[in-house]
Amino acid sequence: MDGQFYEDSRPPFVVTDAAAVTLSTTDKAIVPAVNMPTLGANYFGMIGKQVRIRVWGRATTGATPGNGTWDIYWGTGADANGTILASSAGVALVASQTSLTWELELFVRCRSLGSSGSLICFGMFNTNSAGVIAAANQPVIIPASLPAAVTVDLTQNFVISPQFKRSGSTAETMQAHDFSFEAIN
Amino acid sequence: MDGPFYRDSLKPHVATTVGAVTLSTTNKALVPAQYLPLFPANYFNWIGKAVSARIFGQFTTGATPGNLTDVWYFGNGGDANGTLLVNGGFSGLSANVTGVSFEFDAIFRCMALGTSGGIKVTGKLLIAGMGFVMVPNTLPGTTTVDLTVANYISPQWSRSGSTAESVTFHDVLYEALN
Repeated sequence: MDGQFYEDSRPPFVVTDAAAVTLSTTDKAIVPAVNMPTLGANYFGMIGKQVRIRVWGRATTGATPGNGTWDIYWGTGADANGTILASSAGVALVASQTSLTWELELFVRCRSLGSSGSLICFGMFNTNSAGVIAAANQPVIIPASLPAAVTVDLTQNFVISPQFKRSGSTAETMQAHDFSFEAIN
Repeated sequence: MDGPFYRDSLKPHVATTVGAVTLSTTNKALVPAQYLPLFPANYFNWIGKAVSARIFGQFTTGATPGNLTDVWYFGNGGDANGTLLVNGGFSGLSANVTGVSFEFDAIFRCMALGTSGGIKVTGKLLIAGMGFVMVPNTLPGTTTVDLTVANYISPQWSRSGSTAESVTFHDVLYEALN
């Protein structure tokens, strides 16, 4: 360690698989709010404060999954609740894949404080090369372009919620097997 | 920092490049045990305890490398020794590449304690120019393992082909995550 800005993990340390989530054309939270740390109001209490989130899971696709999109929310953790911090592009999902694994990694940094605070979010989504996303479309970078800080109310006791939607018409599911949340500073 | 679950690096902090390991059809340890942290008996002593590992190295293939199997063992660090924690597969290795870089990483989380303890592994393998795979490729689960025995977490590979493939690691980093 170099100084006072230790990286450290936040409980809860999830030791049971989250329930599988059936995807839709609207955003669905992939990690239940109960599996996320309670940050408290004004958790982002210094400009530059950063956290890292890693979600590791599996996905199953049906015959016509369409495109998949990550939306990262600052909200209650419920489906499509709150403000979107960043989004991926809609990337074509490969049809008829079963329980193939993926990883989502996100970095969220505070740019300004308070009720008109702001967060900027970056990340990456990886799946097996021969998995639910074709190798040619990987890695999926979040955001797809024009990264920018988003104005949010940091005085709320909210969570950072990774959510996913797909444009297709058949049943797709995603399930989180591991979740980690680390304060970078 | 937010609280008491500091992330810190585990010794040894390797500052050398070790000779290449020639792969085989059976698992070969990529990193000699002397360059890995030894996890003492009951190191994983609470459910949720997690460690990360990252291996960075170079990979050379011959004419018919076949497919790669990439695994992590909990054992004495010797070839194919101990309990296989997770089994990954990388299909269709590129032939005749020299010294391409790779990164092999994973998180090991304790799911149960004691002699019938459990470890869940979630990770990935990236090989420059060949792509990447999650480890495991599908159906992640918990492996039963005796956590009361001091052991290493050893990255190991094998390949199905018939020509000489080799691996040299350049950096090893193990971290306690909480």
